[in-house]
Amino acid sequence: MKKILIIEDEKILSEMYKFKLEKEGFEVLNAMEVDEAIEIGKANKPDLVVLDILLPKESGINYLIKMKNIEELKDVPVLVLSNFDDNETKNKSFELGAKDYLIKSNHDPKEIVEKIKELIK
Amino acid sequence: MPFPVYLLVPSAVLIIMVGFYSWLRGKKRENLIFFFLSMGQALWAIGSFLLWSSCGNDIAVIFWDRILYFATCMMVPLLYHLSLEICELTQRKQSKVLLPLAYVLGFIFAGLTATPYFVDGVFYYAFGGCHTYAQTGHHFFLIYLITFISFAFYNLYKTSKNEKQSQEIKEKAYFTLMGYLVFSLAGIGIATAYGVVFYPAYYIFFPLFSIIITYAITEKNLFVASMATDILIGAILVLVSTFFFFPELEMGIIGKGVIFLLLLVSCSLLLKHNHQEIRRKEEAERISKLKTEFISIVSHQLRTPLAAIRGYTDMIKDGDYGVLGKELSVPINYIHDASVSMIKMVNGLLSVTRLERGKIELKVKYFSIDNMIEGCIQDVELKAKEKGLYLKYEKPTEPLPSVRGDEEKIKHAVMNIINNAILYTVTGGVTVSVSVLYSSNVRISIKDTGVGIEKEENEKIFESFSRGKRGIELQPQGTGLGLYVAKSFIAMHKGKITVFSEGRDKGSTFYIDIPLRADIISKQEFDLVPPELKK
Repeated sequence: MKKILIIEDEKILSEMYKFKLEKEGFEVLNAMEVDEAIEIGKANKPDLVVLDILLPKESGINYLIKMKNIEELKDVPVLVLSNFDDNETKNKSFELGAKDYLIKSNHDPKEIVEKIKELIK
Repeated sequence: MPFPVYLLVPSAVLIIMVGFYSWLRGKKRENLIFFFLSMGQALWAIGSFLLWSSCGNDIAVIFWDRILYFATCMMVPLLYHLSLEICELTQRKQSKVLLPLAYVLGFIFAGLTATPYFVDGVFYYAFGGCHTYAQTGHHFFLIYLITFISFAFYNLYKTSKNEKQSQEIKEKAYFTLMGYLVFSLAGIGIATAYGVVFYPAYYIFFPLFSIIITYAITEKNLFVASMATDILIGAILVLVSTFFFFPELEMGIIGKGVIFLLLLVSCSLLLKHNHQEIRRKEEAERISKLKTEFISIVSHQLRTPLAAIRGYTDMIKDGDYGVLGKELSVPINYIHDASVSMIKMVNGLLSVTRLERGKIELKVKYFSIDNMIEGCIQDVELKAKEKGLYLKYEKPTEPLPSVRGDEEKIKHAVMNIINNAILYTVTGGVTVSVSVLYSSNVRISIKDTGVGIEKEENEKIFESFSRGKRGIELQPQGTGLGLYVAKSFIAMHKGKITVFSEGRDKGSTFYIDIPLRADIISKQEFDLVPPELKK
């Protein structure tokens, strides 16, 4: 079973994506902030990370920077899923290795699942 | 020559500048009339100056006198016309008769000035002055002049005192009246034609007039707004240049005092205006920044709950929470669709704020316009099918050249128009075609058989928060931002979007023209483009 780590502080949304992904046969892990995500990531080695940008303690961009030095996470593909669609942030995310950048409100959960499947392939 | 005669030239230069500025900066008819009137006054002033300088040469005196009379003949109907425009009386019954009459008579008298029936012969008098003798035509002209100028002053006076008029119009009428009343005092010199001679102190009223009008324009926004700085700099330049043009000028202590005072007033007004202008600009920037930040924050905040509504309803629809009963599926679909349309509105608002902040960048690369349109068609095919509409893509027979631009932005604009075409078409369908114009432009045409656009709305629909009447009837929801954003994206590529519609229910055709200059290249040339540019 493929493991997805969702880094999302809005419970209403993380629950939604978790439910949908579990229905599609994924194992889902949740983290609310960057450091927590790194701990969970190290311990569970996910197949893909779904990353929000506006997080409580530090920005999702910091996850992209930090993961580069973590053996267990440096090769794990990241899908940025945020409502923050500032061009600079988008470019920065791609520079730091994000595979794609989607705006949460522009996609139904099934479209996001499709994207995740495509990235895991 | 007496000192007041010298004042005519800088004043003429000033009034020419003021006239030009008001014409260039103001769009109303009164600005154009004021411009012509200013030119007439300048011609009068220069004619008068040259007449004085030509004393001794009778032919030149007659010539310049005729020129200044010609200018006066033109000024009369223009001043009358200006009074009607300012007082908003052009539509009055009597104005419709008197105004053409004023112009016709003005032209007749102007023609007459070239003949000996207006002025003829030269006489000389004290102070180094000379003038022509008034003839029959001149007598009638005087009656005409006094009549129409009185009408103009009466109109302006009545309006300036009219309590029902807006403060703006009242002030405008008041300053115009004051200005031209003062100017008419400079016209006392006309009495010279009848042998009544005196020291030409009356010319001082012309610079005085120029100052009043300049003051009214700079301080009271007469004719145009916010041109104070330009005019004041012009006024200072004119005053200072007087010394250079007329180094021999002996103006005495009073003359020097006047010039110094004028310089002082102009400079202090200039400083005051500069400070005001800076403050106004800062305030406008602050408000605009606050507005865009506010919209941006609110929109981002809105996206989270909207994403939840959209996501959960979509999952309910898909049966992720169990089979959905028939009764519930209809309202759930409504909620989902409503959230999607609200998300589109939020996206539109965000695009507008980004456009206003100049935050949108183009990611330029070479791309195939053909593939892009195919992609658009695929994305909306289902939507058209569901509505029972046809959606055709008429491919050009010749292969299309590659286009250099931001594919995402151009696609956004094309999608917006195709989506609108489907949305506002009830029967029939939509046809998309592409052609290359003058080997430098790509034209994408989107033709529908929909509700059409009223002629007067052709420009308006591209403005922000603006929608066509027929569109609102058919689809009451919508922000009116889609076409504005599409137009802005295409404009960023130096292109344009135009629309053609024969009217109500006759369909519309949108043309997206993207000029490519050197960016359209042949296949062979494209192969030579460095790979990093093609990314």
